[in-house]
Formats: sequence, structure tokens, C-alpha cells
Amino acid sequence: MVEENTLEENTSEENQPEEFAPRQSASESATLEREFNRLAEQWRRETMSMSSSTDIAMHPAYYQIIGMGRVALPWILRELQQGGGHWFLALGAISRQNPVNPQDRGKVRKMTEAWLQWGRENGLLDSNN
Amino acid sequence: MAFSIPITDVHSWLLAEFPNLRNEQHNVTSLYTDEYNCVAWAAADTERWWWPSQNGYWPEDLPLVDSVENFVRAFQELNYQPCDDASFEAGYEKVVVYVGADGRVKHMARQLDANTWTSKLGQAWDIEHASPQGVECKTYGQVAQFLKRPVKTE
Repeated sequence: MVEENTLEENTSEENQPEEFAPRQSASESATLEREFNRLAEQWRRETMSMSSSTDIAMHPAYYQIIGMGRVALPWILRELQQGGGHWFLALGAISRQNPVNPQDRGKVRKMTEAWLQWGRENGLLDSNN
Repeated sequence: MAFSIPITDVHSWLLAEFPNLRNEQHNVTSLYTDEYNCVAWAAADTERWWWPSQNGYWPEDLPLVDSVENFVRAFQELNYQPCDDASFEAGYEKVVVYVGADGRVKHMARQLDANTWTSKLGQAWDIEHASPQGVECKTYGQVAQFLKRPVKTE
């Protein structure tokens, strides 16, 4: 009986949707968001002439944004939605997901749409946007 | 989706990023976009971002390595072959590959005619410039490989 209950609980946990947005206090979140905005602007400015996806993703600001973890996912998706940009590696690294059809690799519009849809489905983007 | 660029003075930005352009004719020929890059532009593809990486387009039979050899192999699939220099040859199209100080590919440009080359500048604009050396810089490094193919005739 005990074993059955334990099994049921574990199965139940596995079926829970993954939570992508950690809970934080409002002031913690605001401070982190300001830092994210600063890093994102620096990354855009300092990588805009680059064609190398490797170099774009190896920029120190990009690394720091990845290091913020899941709290940054809504902000990255907002950036992607409002200003484009090659955020795909950061989104994949943080979420450990990849909603992009392999045939669409390199098709920036389709990759963007796939990630925005993923964001809506996971409650990280307003579904009306 | 337009890529949001945090600058307002394009001309100043160009000369700061590409100092050699101070010495040669150049002009911006497109709106900015992050939907394709210099490699795609060299391959005349404006629908995809080409790069040997998990999020870029790259020929399926080639490794995801940004070496000159790998770029040569990708363009060999488009009928390009290595050649000696960037001089204009009637009946041929040429592209050049730029390599940075770390030995990895950074940029490509395509010849339009005897006096004009075209480059897509990363996530920004297409420009025309007078020579391959016009966009040599800290970010792109220097020209390291020349490739040519016969011009297609209808």
C-alpha cells in the first residue's frame, strides 16, 4: 500500500507542467530585470556586426543572461517578440527545450514564432500577444 | 521581425566598426535585418541564417565547425572552387572568406563586378564596398580564402 501511494505521488509529480518562472520578491525581480535590460542592450550593441553565431553566443553579456536562469525567460521572450535577435541558444540553454522544427533551423522568423508560441503555452508570454 | 538596433547614426557606426571604409567608396543597400547573415548573402540566400551551429542553417552532410575548410566544403556544394585571388574574372562569380585572429571564420563577401563587393554586416545592413579589404577589421579579421564558380547562363 505504501509503495502504491509513493508511486502515485511520483507519477503525479512527473505529470506536473514544468515551472519555468521561479518565484521572487517584487524588488528582487525589478533589480534583476534592470540588470537584464542593461546586459541585453550591451549584447545587441556589441554583436550587431557579427555573423558568427558562435561569437554572438559567446559574448560575456549573453553568458551572464544565461546565468540568470529561468527568471530571465519572460524577459528574453519579450525581447525576442519586440526586437528580434538571436536569443535561441539562450532560450534552449535555460529551458532545456527546443520547440523549433529541425527543418526550420536558420529560418529566423519561424524559429522566433516557435519560441514565442512555446512561451505562450508555458505562461511566460501573454497569450494575447 | 525587425532586429532592434541601439544606434541612430549608421554612417558613424560603419566607420567606427570598419575603419578601412574611410578609404573607399561604400553605401548601405538594404534595411537592417537579422533574418540572414553574410554567409547566406554570399550564397544569395535571404531566407536563412547560415552558420555551422545548432540554430543556424548548414548543409546536413557537413560538421558544425567554423573552420575555413568547412566553409569551403559548404560552398563547393554551390559549385564554388578555391582560387588564387579576388581579381575580377569575366564569366566567374567570386566570394571571399574572412578569418579572425583565433583562426575561425568570421565573415564572407561576394563580388558584384570589377569594382564592387557586397557584404551583409552581421545582424545589420547589406553594404556595397570597393574591395574585400574594405570590411577587414577587428571583428572580421582578414581575407583568408578566395572561391569562384562559373556564372550561370540561362
